[in-house]
Amino acid sequence: MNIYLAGKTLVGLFYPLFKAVQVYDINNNVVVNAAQKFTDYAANLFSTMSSIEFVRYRDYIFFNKQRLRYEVDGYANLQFLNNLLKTQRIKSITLNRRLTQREVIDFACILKEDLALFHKEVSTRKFEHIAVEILKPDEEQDEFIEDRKALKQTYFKALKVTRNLMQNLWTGRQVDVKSSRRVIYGLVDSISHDEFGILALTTIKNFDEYTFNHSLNVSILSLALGQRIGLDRKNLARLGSAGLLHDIGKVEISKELINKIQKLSDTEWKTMKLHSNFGVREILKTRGLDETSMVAITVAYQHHWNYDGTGYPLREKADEPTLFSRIVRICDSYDAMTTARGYQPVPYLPHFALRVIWSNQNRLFDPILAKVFTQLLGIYPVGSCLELTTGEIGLVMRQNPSTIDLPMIKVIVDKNNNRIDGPIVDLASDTEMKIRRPTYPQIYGINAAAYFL
Amino acid sequence: MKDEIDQIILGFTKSFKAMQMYGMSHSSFLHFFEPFYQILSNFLKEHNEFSLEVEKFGLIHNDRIVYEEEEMDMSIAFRLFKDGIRSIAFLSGLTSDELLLFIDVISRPAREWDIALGLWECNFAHITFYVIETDEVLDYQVPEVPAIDVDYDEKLKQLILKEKIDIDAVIIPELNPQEIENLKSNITDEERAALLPIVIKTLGDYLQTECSQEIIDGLIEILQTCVNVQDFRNARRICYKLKDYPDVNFIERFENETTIMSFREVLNVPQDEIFNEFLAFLGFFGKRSIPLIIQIMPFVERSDRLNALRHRIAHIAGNDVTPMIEFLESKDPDLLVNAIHMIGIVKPANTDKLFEPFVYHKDENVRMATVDALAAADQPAAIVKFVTDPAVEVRVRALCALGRQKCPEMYPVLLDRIKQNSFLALDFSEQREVFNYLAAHGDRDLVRVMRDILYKRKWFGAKKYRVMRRLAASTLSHINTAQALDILEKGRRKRNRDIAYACEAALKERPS
Repeated sequence: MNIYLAGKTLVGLFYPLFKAVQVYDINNNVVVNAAQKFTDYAANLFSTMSSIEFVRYRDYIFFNKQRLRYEVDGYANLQFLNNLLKTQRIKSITLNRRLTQREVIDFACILKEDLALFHKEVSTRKFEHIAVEILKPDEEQDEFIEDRKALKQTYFKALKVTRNLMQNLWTGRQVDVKSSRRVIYGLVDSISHDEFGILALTTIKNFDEYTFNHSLNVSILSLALGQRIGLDRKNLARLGSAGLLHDIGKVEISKELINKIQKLSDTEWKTMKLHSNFGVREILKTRGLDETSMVAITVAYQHHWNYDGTGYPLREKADEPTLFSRIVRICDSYDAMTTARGYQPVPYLPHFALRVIWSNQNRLFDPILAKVFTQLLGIYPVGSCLELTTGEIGLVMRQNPSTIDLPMIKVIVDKNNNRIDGPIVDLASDTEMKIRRPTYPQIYGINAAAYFL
Repeated sequence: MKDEIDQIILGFTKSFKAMQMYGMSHSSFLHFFEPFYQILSNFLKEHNEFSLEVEKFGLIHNDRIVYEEEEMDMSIAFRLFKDGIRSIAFLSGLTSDELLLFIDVISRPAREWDIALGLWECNFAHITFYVIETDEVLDYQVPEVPAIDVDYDEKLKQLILKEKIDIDAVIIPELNPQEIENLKSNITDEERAALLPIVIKTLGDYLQTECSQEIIDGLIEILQTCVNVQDFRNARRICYKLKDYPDVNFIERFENETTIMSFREVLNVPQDEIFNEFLAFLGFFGKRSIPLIIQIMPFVERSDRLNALRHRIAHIAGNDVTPMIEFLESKDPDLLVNAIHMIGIVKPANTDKLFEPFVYHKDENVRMATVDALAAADQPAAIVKFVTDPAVEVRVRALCALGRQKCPEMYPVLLDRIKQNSFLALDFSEQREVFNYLAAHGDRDLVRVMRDILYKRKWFGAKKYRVMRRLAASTLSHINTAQALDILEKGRRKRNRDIAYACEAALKERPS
């Protein structure tokens, strides 16, 4: 039995039960049937495991220590559970063998109560086979004091490997393929453990070494999008690799042209567009022809193909970009728009870049992927700087999976325009703070990325 | 519990050593592995998880050192540690196959082998592990954002104008059930889609913009892989892409004995599609490979495939039979027969001269092949010599071929032959082919002759007369003129039941 699928299924079975007890009497067939299905499935799981544990940690739900990922399929169920546990301040729920149908129904009933009543019921009622752990007040803030060491190590190691890879190609030296494979798997693991954490690191941009950070950011964004749509690890590894290598053809184009600030002439633009072709050649040279590089070759070639059949290199009408190429197309555009470069010294605000993608679905971007990408990043992506109705300035630290337009922010500038180390505020919770509008952090002399290190 | 943990570690250690010594299919390994799996899965049923922290030379479970080994090559801990693995957890639901693969991956000997990569690529559902990159101190500096003097609000307005989007539009990114379904099928399609055709197309498209040696080399490398795994469909796709580059000899590498001999496996595959793709791929081979391909032809079991292969080789040969001619000297009748057939398909001008020695060849298969080849090469005059062959099958084949060719010089001979008593002694199939020949070449006079045979027992006694009558009726139906048909119609109404039956049957088999 696959634990991950078991967890997803059980969450999926809990959702209709909870909805049923909200509407029907506990003896109604709808409730009884839903509870029956839940307990039957749990009983089946108890044949291979002694207990079933759901833990909520930093907006992630863990099922017997395996993180249940937010995916398009089952997204609503998981989002619901996360919201419920968050509202009722539940840290974990443990179900034990010999769990009864009656217990499940009773527990679902008290879950629908308000916070105070729920806590009272939990402490007074005795559930023989259900244990609930309530979040302690001091644990709430702990949620945001994250140990980012492992993520940072992964990110910067990946950056180093990407830089070495490209520099070695530029100088015609041997490329360390093994390192890049390890880096990709490390990124896949990071995405699978904490996609919001690693996504936050994509706010790190580099004006001088644009291509390295950009390649890595595209890889991370693609992995997060790939995971959200439900790709398995093998395909995630291929996708991550393709994202990392999508612009590798630029090593065949002169640095002067790549870094040129002025508008490119027609000839220069023509040369620049050849990087899609050159990418194919570079990947062939460095990686040979395993399955991962075949995917990377295709993505490198197609990552400027638009959804409506336009784009470059020229193609026949019947040729459609692969799913991976369509994913990288979106992530590449998003990261490119939000990064300052020679010819684009003022980057697009993250929320604005997202709206550009949203508005160009069907034309440039796959509409379904554009929607999922928006779900993933939220209306105000991590790293966005927000003017608040309180006159303060907040930085989006984390997406709220259940309310994509109300992220968690850190207050970084007070009403008097002073830089402060303010609190982290969940805009989805009852708070006076509202978003007035997104703004440029540069106005306040802020480098958003610094807050994620 | 401590005992249980110790038992698991003992089982783990023994299985690891046994794998290194014997490999996974050896009974000695299974002797240790099976109880190890059993005890571990029992533990997991009770506790859901069995986790181990990895130190340089030791493994730790719940803060207790449960394994220590400082000999690097022998140490499980060191092997894991050196590749950055810092913890491992086995989860309930662990299968025997997963555990087996795990032991296999961690015990592989090569120094270049990276266990972390190996474990990652196994994609385990019930084994998790935590890998760190090297402990090197990396640069966590955030790159500077260049300060520029610009009115950001104004810049944002310009960007909104440039992009022509409604900045306040409501965004609802929920997917409807249909979109979720579409996405799922998209993913399934992507997972099922073969990578090779896409990458071949990509490389082919690239070549249309620039003739790059790297791309050509890449395609040739894929071609080599395809041939190695006998994926002739993709091999053919690549050949089509490369054939436009005359300087690139992409097929030469396959025109050797080893490769061509390896094609024997594909000659009798059950799937026709694979064989047909192979034939199409073979179309790119050059003449130099013909002698080698002829060598594998005797391995073809099905006659239709053999025939198709002969035609493919003849196609490769073009008008030049030189590569086949050397086989006309062969002592091996199979090789000789194939060479004869292919020369017949090529139809060189001197076919009759080339085949002259085979009129008296001792092997009747060779003589039959010669008749077929001469027929294919439209050489009826040369076939005539085989009408008197000592073997009935050869004669039949020759008569049959002559019946389909224009060769009137045999007509009087054969017309005379049917009047001989000796004709009655011939095999029926030969008699029938003689009549078929006569039907194909006959004139008005033949109708009269056949009518006489049908009605008058002319030239023959009663013996075997029934057979002759039916052959005559059949011939009349093949002649199929008004006069011939009138005879058959009248015959059908005769009181003589034998005549009526012969005519009735002949009319039924009349060509439409």
